[in-house]
Amino acid sequence: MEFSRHEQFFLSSLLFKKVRRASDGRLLGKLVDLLLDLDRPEPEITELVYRPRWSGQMWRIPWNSVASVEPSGLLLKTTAADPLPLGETPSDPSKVFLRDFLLDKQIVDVHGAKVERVNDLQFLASYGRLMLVQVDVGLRGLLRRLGLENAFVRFCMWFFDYEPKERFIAWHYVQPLADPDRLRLQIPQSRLARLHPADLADIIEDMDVHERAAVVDSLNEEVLADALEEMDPKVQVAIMRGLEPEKAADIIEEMSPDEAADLIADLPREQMDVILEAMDDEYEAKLKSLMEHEEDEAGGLMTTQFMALTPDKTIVDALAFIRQHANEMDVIYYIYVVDSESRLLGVINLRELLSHEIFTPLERIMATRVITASLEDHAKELADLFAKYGFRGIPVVDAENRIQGVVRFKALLEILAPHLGK
Amino acid sequence: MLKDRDNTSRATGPGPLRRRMLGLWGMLVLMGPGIITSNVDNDAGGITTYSLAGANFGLSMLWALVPITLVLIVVQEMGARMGVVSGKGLSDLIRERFGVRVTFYTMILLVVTNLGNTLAEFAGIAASLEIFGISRYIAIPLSIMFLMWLAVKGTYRSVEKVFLTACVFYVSYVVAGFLIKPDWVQVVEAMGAPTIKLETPFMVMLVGLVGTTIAPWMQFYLQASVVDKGLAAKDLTVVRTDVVVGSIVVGVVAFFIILACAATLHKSGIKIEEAAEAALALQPLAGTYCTWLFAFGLFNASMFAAAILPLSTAYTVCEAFGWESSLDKKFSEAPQFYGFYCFTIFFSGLLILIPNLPLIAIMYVSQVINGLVLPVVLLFMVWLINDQAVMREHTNGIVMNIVSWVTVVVLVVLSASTIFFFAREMIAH
Repeated sequence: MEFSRHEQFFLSSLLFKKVRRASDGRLLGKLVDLLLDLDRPEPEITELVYRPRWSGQMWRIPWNSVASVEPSGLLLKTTAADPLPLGETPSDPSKVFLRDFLLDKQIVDVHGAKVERVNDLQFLASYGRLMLVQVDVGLRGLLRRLGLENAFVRFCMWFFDYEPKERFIAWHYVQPLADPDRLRLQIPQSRLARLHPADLADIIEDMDVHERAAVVDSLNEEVLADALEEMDPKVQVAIMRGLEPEKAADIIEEMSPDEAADLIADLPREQMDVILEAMDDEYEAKLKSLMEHEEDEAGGLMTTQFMALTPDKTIVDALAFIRQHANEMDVIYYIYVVDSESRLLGVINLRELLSHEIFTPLERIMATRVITASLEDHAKELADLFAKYGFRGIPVVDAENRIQGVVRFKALLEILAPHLGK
Repeated sequence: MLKDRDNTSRATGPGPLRRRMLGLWGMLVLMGPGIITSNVDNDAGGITTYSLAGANFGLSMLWALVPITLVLIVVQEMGARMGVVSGKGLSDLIRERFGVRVTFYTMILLVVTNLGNTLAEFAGIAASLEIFGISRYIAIPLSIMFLMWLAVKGTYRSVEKVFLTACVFYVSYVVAGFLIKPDWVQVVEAMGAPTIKLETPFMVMLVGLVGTTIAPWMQFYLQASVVDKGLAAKDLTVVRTDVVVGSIVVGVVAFFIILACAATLHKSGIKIEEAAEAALALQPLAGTYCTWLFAFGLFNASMFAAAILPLSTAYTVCEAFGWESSLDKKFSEAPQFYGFYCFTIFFSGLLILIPNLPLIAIMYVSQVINGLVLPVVLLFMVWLINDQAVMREHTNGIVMNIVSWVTVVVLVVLSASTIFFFAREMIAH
């Protein structure tokens, strides 16, 4: 085949092909790997690696020395550069070997938000250049590598009258995981930060320890805290155990207190102590009080990041307060009205706040009949309240009617969902 | 995210803080992956093979347990270390280091072997329940339904504890072993002066003993559970202790089963052809109830392994080929995973329903196949554990390498010569 037109190529069709010199037709060896330059917007193959038969030494040669790819093998131009022994020249950090970095390795499909295994790679050949276009994660790619693709497709057509589909992921959506050190360096380019925290959590769960550590290093604390909240407790603990106490404390402080308390309580004792030590004192006290309650009781489910104001404040004050604190709050749909001893007097939801004249004092518009839960109420009782009233959050009060926290519907859902069946 | 939280952390007990701690870390020390694996290891095939070894060869095979246990420790330690350091399962590593082709054929070999083992577990279920007078045509369909229910309900963790507790049954062999009052001088002599007979039955039994104690699927299962626990390099000491203790438990249980069978069955010249005959080894302990005790133990062991083996097979294969694999997923999200799980169970379960199958022979032969496949798996493990890209600074030391390479060579020679002896005998007939 000449390189003068566009042509699709699979890596599997190139690997282990014979490499010959066009001038004298001499067999140099078999193609064993390709070097990919990641720095260009369209990653391009820069070199090929071949190994002569019966030899352990591998050689590299620039891709532009290739004259043509024939079914019988690759032909090198007469003007080809001299091959260099592999490993002698210092390797350029932007270049990676496909078999170390992509082939058979795990990648994240950022678009579909899943961890996949690479079965094959597809290139576009154009005027002598070879560009990586997409990765193949489907069954057909797997069978192509085994040399069984055609047989399989023909069988499916004959037996089921169905052509099995290809599953490709465009390179643009691929985040490779195989080289944790590179992942760490590429913080700004990391495509993972684009994901929804819940998807990110699922993906991190599918990674191994080194990949996890690299991703944890590459994401900022806020994104990580959001993702951690969605993660399986076992994975949370594994991640926390790999972090310095200060960094762990910083991340935990970004989480909502109810989730943070659950996480901390799952850690081994010594680590729990060092992390609490490294934490802001006020936050530590908050967590400790939450940790005194069972995980499935109101006291353990509630968050302490909610807004409480005194009755004499006006809507203007309330809106200013919301604007200032919305980022750190877990509950922003409700404003709780409390007296100086934080006894709960009433509640106002955002809709009412927005639909009244702005200088109205809060006590004029608050609902005074507040549905509350006590610290020991079980998740089941809370579920009944949520079901009956359709609230987004229920305030939790102690025996003296002082507000302690708010149970969000979301927190309850996490406890109940596993029992809802598959 | 809607995932079942670790069940252990929600049981009732002392104050929430201490309770949750015990949940995760107490379990690791008490019932780590090593201990669990070793208890699954003593499955239907295990009990049968040890019983046969004692009944057919008396004390003459007892010595083999010493090197086998040592090798078990070495192999399991390597697997656990690989899991801890790389954070990846064994089939994952094989795929990444050796490519599709090698992985594909290895997986075929493993699936076939595991099908044989699952078949043995169902044979164990059938054999044990037939002692209680329950026909296999009722017992097997019920067991299949139970295993399906386990996967759908996701109650694995709690059921696992029931099985583990019932493993106390093995103590009865230890007690029986002492009650028989064997000639300990003879036992020590048998252990100290190894006998090797270059004849087919003896060689096959030796391979069977190796294969049942160091089953190939166990290495995948152990490494996967270590990874699943999320253990890191700093836990290596705990993991090693767990693995060593687990391996020694396997060795001790095997020792007493062989001893008990040698002292009872071998002495009275009984060749085991029915499970009820193997039960006679427990007579000194349980008298006429020995068959019931044995049936209970065999049933528990078979059911436990039948619950874990298909799961382990499905995990291993899906991991190698990058398919979704988790009991948390729905069938439509992980079709290959559930497909393999169901296939393994239905194939083996339904095959056992063929009338007049020799159950004891099935359980035994599956273990011999294990022994023949083991060298392949070991070879991968030794290559991987010396690969710095995988293991970083935790590659094998010189001593470990000598032990593991010698093991590989010995096992290859053993397997090859067994096949040779077997083939020669076949031709001679």
